[in-house]
Amino acid sequence: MKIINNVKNSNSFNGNNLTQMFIYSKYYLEKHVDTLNSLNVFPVPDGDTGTNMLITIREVLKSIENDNNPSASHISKTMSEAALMGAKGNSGVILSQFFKGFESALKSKHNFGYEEFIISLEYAVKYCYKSVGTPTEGTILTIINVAAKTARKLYENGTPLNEIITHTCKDVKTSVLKTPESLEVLKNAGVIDSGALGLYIILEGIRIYLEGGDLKSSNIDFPENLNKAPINLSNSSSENMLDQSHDKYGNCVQFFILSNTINIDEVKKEIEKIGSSLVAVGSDTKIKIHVHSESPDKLIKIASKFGEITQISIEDMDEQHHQIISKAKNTSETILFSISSGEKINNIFTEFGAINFDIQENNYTKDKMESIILKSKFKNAILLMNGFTLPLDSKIFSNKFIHILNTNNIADGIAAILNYNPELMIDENISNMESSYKSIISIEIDKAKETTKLYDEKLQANEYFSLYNKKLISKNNNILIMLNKLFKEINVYDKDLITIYNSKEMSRKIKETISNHMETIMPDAELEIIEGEFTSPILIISIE
Amino acid sequence: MIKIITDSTSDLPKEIAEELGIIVIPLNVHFGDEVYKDGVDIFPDEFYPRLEKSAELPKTSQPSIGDFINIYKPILDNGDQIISIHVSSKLSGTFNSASQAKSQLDENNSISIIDTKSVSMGVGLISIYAAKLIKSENLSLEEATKKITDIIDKTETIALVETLEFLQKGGRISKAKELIGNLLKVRPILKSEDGIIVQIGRERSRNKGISFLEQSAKTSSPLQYISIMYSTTPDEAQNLADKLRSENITPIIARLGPVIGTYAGPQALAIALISD
Repeated sequence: MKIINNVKNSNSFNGNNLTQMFIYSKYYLEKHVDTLNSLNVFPVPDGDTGTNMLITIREVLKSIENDNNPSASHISKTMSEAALMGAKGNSGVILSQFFKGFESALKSKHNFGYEEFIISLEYAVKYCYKSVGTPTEGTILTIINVAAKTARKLYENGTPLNEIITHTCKDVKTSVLKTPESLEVLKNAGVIDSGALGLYIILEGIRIYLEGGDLKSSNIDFPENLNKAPINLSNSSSENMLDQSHDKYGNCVQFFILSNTINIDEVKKEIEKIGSSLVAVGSDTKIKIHVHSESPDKLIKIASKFGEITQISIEDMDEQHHQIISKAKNTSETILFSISSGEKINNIFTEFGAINFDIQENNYTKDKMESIILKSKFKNAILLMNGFTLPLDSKIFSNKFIHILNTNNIADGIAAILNYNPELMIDENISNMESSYKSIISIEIDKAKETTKLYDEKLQANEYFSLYNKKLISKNNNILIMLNKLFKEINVYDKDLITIYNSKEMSRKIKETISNHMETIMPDAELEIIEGEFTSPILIISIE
Repeated sequence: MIKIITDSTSDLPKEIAEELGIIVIPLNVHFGDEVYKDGVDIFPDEFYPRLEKSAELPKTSQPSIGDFINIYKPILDNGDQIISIHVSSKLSGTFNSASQAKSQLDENNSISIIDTKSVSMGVGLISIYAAKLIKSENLSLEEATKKITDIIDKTETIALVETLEFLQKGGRISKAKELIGNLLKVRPILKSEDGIIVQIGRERSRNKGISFLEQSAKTSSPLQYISIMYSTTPDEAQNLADKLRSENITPIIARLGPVIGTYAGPQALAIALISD
């Protein structure tokens, strides 16, 4: 069926028009769902507000998909029930009460006009506030309230009917942008409230429909320059919401209570004792509960006193929250880069959180590396050179600072990265990382390919030699003799860990000879052997 | 009279519990369908070899409300009072079971249940402190509870574990602050902080990990109590105890029992302390 949008200048709408309004809302929610998710910091920063609102509204529309009954009363009731059953998450449950507002206002009405639309919003305000354990301003609640109040004022002032929704949306937009002023966590995270923005998008959908706009070619008036990457992990004031030491968020628990008569206030009172972010909505025979709690069993036990419990869903929010944190870390303050060669070593750096340039895989030039680094979102980047000699220097690029750590080899790089702590400031990290790689003994062992001179020492072709701190320490045609000479020069007293990084140039026999030799030199130390895919040097030994 | 009760996650050595009259309620360890009571019908000597061999990790469960009622009721019937000192409520439902039992029994407010926000000998040391406190001073239940609660903030538990695997699989650590890779041997150092387990460091060599524990104890000095706990390496525990022994303080060596061992794994070494 082709939808002909002829509602402009009309003051009489039926159920089909109501459906259309929310089809528009859904369309724009879908378009902006990622932004909504990225803004989600309250009440739990689990990045799902947009998704939850969208799922809820999809359920609403699904319920009336093949419903040809044009009665506004019928459609609004069906929508409201579907919203209640299908609501997901805190924002979804509140949204279900928005629909309940329409159900109440449009009861026994086949058609409705602007006045009933405004009454619907007013009912919605009442239900939404009531549904939440502790109403918080600066959220979706505030927006519903502003919408209802503004629309009512415009109506009473005699504003032309077809302009009411236009002006209402403008005021609502201003309020959405002001949400951080009412809610500390938003301010600290530098974002606006995601549920509030979600409701604004829904209202904008309705506006475009009522103004006679075409779905695909119209755009909502989306706030510009939104900070979509809210999370600033190093900002101490935002730690409350993102710091890992935050109390556990526990589980997001949702279920229905069915009974002949339920006193919703009593249920709320009981459940609030052991849960937070409570939303309780429904009728006196069916209540939907959405609550965050660390002890879902206990919660359900308490709830079961009020009636039969159905459709229980329990989600671990700590897990959700955790994923957000790791995502945030990748796009925030400090980012780690390293250079290495070969998959195995590459993976070690990646496991410890670095983005690794695998020199073996790609031919990275200085410019290419710089441009990759600068494309990442960060304020500070730390680049572990690991002995590779690209002419990069620490420098500032428009607010971005690249710190170069001249680690001599991958062993140094690993020592450094292990001492990176995301909770510390950049200067502290740099200094910790520097002192950690300088405190280990990392020796590069290689074989001269031809007669050459290195650090003022002559080397014969096929001669083994060892380098430590950019100095040639020992050399010999026999690798064991060379090692013995080396350990006469280097004090390993008190050291308890040897790591051998073998290159792929090493034969199995030489590898065994060397690890056995190391065990005789340091019998009490732990020995770990890593098989690398690099080709030069032929071997790195780190002692710490 | 006030009776001190704790649970088996305290890892309190049996002799000490007996000497001080501390009652220990066991948690349960489940290997598949088999359920054992921690320290009653399963002990470290058989547990750790089994843990290493078992394909599926054991699970643990808190004492039931009934288990608590069975212990609490005769004491109350006898006209005595109870201070029940337990593992962090964020790590185990034990505190919850105890609270439920109290709510069913305790009409006269004769039971005080304490969430130590700690684990292993962190709980054990608080129980020792509590038992000595009620012996030496004639305090009301309320006064004693207050004093015991006050030392929770001075209690620290720090552990060096070989792997996070057991804690992660058991769901007891959700917030690893730093990454621990699989390709390189790295040992995490964990701490109970405000009731949850967080990672506070990582060391590649075991000796450095042990030095970390030693340094942590020294940083927190002066101490009232200190304990060294181990799962499978008694010699290391003894060495560390020797290093931390002083004129005023003798470290208590304790073995991590099956419930804690389920999460700490073999070769775990830990310290618990109460600073002055």
